[in-house]
Amino acid sequence: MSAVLTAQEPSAKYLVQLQPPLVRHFDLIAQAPGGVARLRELILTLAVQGKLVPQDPSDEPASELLKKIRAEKDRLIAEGKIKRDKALAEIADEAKPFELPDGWQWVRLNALLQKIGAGSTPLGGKEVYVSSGVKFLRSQNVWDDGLRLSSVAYIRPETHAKMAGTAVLPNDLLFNITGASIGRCALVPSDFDEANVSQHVTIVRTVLPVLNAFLHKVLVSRHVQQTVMDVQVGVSREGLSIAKLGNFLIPVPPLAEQSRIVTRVEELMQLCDALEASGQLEAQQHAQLVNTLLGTLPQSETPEALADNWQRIATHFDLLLDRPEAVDALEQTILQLAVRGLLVPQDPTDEPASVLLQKIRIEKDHLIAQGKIKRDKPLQPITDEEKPFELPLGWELVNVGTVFQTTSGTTFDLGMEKDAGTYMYVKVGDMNLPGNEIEITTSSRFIDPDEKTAKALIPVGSIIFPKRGGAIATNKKRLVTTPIFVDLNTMAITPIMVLTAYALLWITTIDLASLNTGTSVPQINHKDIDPLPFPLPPLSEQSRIVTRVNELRDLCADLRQRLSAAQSTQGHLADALVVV
Amino acid sequence: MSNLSSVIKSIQDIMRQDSGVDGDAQRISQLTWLLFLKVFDALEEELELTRDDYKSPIPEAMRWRNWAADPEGITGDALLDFVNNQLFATLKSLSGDAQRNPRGYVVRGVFEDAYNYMKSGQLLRQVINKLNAIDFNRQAERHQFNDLYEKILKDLQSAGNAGEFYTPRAVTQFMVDMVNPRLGERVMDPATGTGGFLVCAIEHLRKQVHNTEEEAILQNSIGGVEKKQMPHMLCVTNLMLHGIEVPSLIAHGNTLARPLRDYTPAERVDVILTNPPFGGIEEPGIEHGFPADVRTKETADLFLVLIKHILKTNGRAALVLPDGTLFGEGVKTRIKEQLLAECNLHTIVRLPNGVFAPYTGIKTNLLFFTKGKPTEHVWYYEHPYPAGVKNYNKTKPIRIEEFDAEKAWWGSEVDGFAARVENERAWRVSIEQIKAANYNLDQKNPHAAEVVSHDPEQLLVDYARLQLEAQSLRDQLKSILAQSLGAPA
Repeated sequence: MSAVLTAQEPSAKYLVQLQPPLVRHFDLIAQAPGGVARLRELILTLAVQGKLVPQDPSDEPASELLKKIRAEKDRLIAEGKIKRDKALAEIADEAKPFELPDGWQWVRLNALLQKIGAGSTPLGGKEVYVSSGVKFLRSQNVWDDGLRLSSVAYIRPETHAKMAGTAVLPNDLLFNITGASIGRCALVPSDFDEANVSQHVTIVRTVLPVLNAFLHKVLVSRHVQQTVMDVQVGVSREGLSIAKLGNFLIPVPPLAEQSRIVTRVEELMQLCDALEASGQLEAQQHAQLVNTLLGTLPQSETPEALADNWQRIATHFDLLLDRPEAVDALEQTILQLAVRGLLVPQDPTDEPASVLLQKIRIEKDHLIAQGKIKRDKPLQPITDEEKPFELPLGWELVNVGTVFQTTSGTTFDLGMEKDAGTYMYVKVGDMNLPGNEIEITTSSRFIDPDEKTAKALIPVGSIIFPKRGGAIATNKKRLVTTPIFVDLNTMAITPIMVLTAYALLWITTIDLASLNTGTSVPQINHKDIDPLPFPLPPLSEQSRIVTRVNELRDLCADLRQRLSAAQSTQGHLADALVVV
Repeated sequence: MSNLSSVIKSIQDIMRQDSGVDGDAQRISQLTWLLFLKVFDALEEELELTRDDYKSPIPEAMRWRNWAADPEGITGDALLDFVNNQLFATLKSLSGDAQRNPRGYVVRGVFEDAYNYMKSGQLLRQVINKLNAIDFNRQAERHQFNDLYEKILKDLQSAGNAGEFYTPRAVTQFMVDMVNPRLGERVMDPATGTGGFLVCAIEHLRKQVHNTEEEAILQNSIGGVEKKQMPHMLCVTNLMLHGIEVPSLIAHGNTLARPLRDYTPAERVDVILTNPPFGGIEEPGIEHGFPADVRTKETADLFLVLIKHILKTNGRAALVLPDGTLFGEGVKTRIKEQLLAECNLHTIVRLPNGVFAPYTGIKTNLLFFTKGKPTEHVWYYEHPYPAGVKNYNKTKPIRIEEFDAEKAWWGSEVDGFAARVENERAWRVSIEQIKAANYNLDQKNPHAAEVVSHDPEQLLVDYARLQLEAQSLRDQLKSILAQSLGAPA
């Protein structure tokens, strides 16, 4: 059994007896997404079915209570305080939603009430609301756990006086009958002063206030809420009227049992509160722990520090990587480690990046001579102080502009955009098309270029990303595997003699939003991209890094899938076990 | 209805005060034999009116009207003494066999293992007087009584006996509708329980009855066997209430105890409708009545063999079987192989979880087959929950309207169900595929997206498997990372 159950809450033993499979897997349910909400629902359901506390045969049965209610009602009628009520429709056996324990009775809600009626909203629009005066309760003030008065409106006492028929009294039940919050029900505290209610809220006033606590549990339980949803959104969509509400079937236990049930429900709800709070805290703390521990890895100054930092994570690896969010964080860390040269060992026999750099320079000059790219402006070399970390053996830290050709997209005449054509014309929105998750394989628009515009083609091996607007913050980056055109809100970087796959790894670690230099409209320009430091490994190491990262990312993807599936299974399990 | 059910409820309340009656099962048992006598008497009253030469098999003094009907009649110790020492003794030893005195045979069969649990004659008298408030000869009340009766049957099931489940009315109704027994055919349930299938079949056949000759045919076309005493008694009473005057064809015994070779061709039947007890194990020795290659102790398997055997050629069967029988191996494989070779198993309707709730959450299937031709392919139909329903339960059971889709899809056996088409619920599996799967009949719906299970056991298994897979992935990740990040070698 759950440690929480045994340690915290003796009354949870009642649930133990009632729902053995539920209790056997209690932790699984309580930790499931929405699991505590399901438990709350279960508790209320058991409560209104009489399964939460044992019956006491010596209790005065509900039939006696109902007689007293009738007598009190007759007295109020005789005194002229309330109107004579109409006889209620009989409750047929087959209409009874479930079996009741001995001593309980089904009644229609009206049988327990001296008043049921909606409020009214004073005429005059916003003018009638004043900053102080008599409280005016609207549906947003009515919550299952009580009135929430922080945003309450006020009306003038004169207005209040005119609407005496819809005044709220202490101990009333308020029930929302329209709108998104339909079915929400608050119990007005016994020390409440006075208020009016809007026409969206119904006042439910019992004959005997002692009935309120249990009746409130019934009204918020699934039994009534389901009925509300059925009449509200059922096939007929007839809507919930006060007349229908008054005809709802209410299970009535003996009075003594009502108070025992209410006490038990309150106890168990407190347990649920505690579970919920501890669950939220746990999730926060876990995320913080994962981020802190994984964050130490790329920041390790020396191989020894890295080994130490890794050891700390390895010891608690299973505990840390027990949810999909943690796998996301690990994946990010892996990429960071990869572009820091920490993921695969260096090979001293590799041709160093400095040689590669010379070759890149020659290739660039060649391309410039051919007119394929523009002559680049010399960039400020990166000084040692600027180097964010110690470079691995054989690596070079260079500016992006040194090893990439940066291109912004072009806008074509509207007439040139086609539904089909030789080349895809990709706008930022097209990056989200199905099939384009990693590389561009499809587009909504196409271009048949002429000689002049053909120069704007983005070559294979480039990486494109949004350069303007809010889309920058989405950090989308896509690979170009066939030549395409892009619009002017898109930027492309084309590696020169650098592995595209490695370049993609690197740019995935870059938060584009942090490069934004636009003032009113977010924007990234060449001058923001070109000077960025780019860690350049030897060519053969680039390839080893990519292989290793792909291997790890595949595992991460599988793990994430299993963990998400486990979470949803946990949720279904909670559903299945909590069904009564 | 409310009147009747309140009568029954007050009877139960009276019985609760009696020190001899212990628990629901005994209470229902007591109520059942009292009801039987009362119903029997009511039917006799009718027969006396319609038949001049009617003679009751029960001695005059033992007839309900003569000792029970008078509310001021014998009570206290005198009543108790009468019931225990005269009534039961007499009824248990009634003369008469199935042919010459079938009515006596029925009464004796019912009382064979019946018992008077009540120890207070006064309370017994109160119960009897309550019962007398019901007039079983009034057509309206009798009609209501059938519903009430089913409620008692459900209570009996709640009292709980392993392996026996009350088959929901919607399921029996659907199976009978599809098998469509014709008047003149012999219908049999080798494990009647409280007679749900037979009653359904009677109602189905009665629509075909237009005259007294045809009624006589109906009277003799319903047969069955029930092993346990109380369900048997309830079955007999149930049939009487549904107009079978002499349910002498309902035997009290274990169908499986009779060796297969003892069945003569004349005993074979046209239609079998049943929900054999599953999960049960037969006592040692029973299996020796079966051919050596299909010997097993498992009740449901033996029933499958038996049903296949006692069907006439071209006879039709519909039965409820659990998932376990569909995919089971070993002897089960051989039984399925024989079934598919000798019968055309044309349809399997796969029911969702909870149809038999709350008695069991086990997943079940409805098998429909016809003897005489080998199976060429099996049509599967996956019965969905109605929209918005996640599970069935006591208050929201499966309803007959839910089978409208199957009925519309069903087609006709005459043309080999040529009209059937595959859809997201229905799919066809060839005998080759089934053979290749080693006669595993648990064939999944190829059209269904992965459906979310609502079976906690299944979900726990899934959860454990996912955790295990996640663990293995974590281990791989960890070991690769350790290579890269661990202390330099």
